[in-house]
Amino acid sequence: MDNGASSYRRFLDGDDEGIVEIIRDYKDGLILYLNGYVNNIFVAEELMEETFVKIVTKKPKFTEKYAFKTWLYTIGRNVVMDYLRHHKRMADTPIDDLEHCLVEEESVERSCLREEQKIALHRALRKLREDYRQVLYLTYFDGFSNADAAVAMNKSRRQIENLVYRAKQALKTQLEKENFVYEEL
Amino acid sequence: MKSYREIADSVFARREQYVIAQRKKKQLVTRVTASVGSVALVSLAGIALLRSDAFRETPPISDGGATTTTTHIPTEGEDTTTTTVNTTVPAPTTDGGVVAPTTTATTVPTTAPSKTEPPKTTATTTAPTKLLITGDEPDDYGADCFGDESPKFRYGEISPLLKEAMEKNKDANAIYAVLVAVCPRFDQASAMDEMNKAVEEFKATDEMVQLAEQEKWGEYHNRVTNFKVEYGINLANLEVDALAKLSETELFDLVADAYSKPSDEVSPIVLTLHMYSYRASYFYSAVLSADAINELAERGTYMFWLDSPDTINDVYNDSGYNVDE
Repeated sequence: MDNGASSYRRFLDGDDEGIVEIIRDYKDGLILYLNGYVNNIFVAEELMEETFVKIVTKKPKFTEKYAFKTWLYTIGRNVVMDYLRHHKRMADTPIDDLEHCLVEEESVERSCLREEQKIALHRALRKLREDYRQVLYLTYFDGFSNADAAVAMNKSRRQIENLVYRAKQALKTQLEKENFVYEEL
Repeated sequence: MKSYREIADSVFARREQYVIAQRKKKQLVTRVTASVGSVALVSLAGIALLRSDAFRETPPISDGGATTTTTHIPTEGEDTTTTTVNTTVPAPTTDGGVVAPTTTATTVPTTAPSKTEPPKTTATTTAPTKLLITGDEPDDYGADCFGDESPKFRYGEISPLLKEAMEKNKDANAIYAVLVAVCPRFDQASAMDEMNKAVEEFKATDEMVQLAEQEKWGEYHNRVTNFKVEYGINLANLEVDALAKLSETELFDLVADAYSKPSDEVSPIVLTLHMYSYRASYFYSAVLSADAINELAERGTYMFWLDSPDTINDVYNDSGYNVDE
């Protein structure tokens, strides 16, 4: 799979198909990442689309200092922060929608994570704190290095290391409660 | 969940909307900027035009107003002197003052009795009796009042002696008050009777009765006051017309007589009209000689309203004709 940078360059050169490829390759991961912030898969999907709208209209510069995915997720995080700033008082999701939400989320999980073990792990993440959830998602599921995760989450590398350590401890406790076998992870 | 194609289509559709919105915004900004720019340019041009000399009736005198005419009269074979006549007319000053004309006369003897340059005589004569003053053109009907029947009157001219008198009295308005006060019709009783009668008739009009019934007293009193002022102006206008027909001697006698009048014999209408002072100045300069004006000015200290503006205001307010209401 192309890392996305070349597709983005093609898009900047006038080939819209470049952005289509990026959407195809990164949309699910981005949705799950954004879902860690908003905890609503539908809103996360809207924010994912909004992220791509930002990219095609503003055409921000990509310097290749970081991985393309890191750059994309950073934009996504900015979008979600704007969203949260304007929706400080999050409306409670109705029960019916919540069920629908979970079904939808499972669908994305299957599409993105594929492996059953990873899916179970991802679900365990839901019960963690927001920042633990985000950092573990980035490092476990999206393969981000601590440095990339620090950029995407707008934190220092040291903060990310501490956060990863505490998040792992929390996840371990959570998995033990659920009798989950985690040695292989 | 949308497919990536659907998402891409949606993203591109929103991009189109964004581009259109940006284009409209740009057009709007351009249009507003152009409008504001045009208005600013027109305003600046207007201001520049107003501040220029384009609308002034009297063109500025570039050399400061001083006009020098030199005439060389050769007298070779007949006369051993050359006469050069310099006539200098001082320029009007910007503060309304008038510079006194200067007169010099010199005779320069020649160094040789003949063929060489003859002796010169330089004589500077006094300017004509009337000098220009600066100041705003009166916005009343003064000029129309005199019309063509007053050949002496010329707008913008004033005797330097009258100017001096006005400065001495410190209140040009008072001079006009004198002018109106001396008119025979403007004695206290007849003027007041005449005005009161007219005011009562005015109050009886349907419009005023209606205002009174509606208890719109602010507007009611404003209209009554305006009526009084207008009435007073009309009366004064008639009187000035009458005064314009008097001879200089008759006018002088009337004005001089007014100096001796006690203040309570002066009509309040005189005070109501105090703002039309410029016309009085022109009238004086047109009718009275400089000497007569000067003499009147010297006596001006006896006039009660020339002593103190406060006195004028007191009498004015007591009369009930406060036009500023």
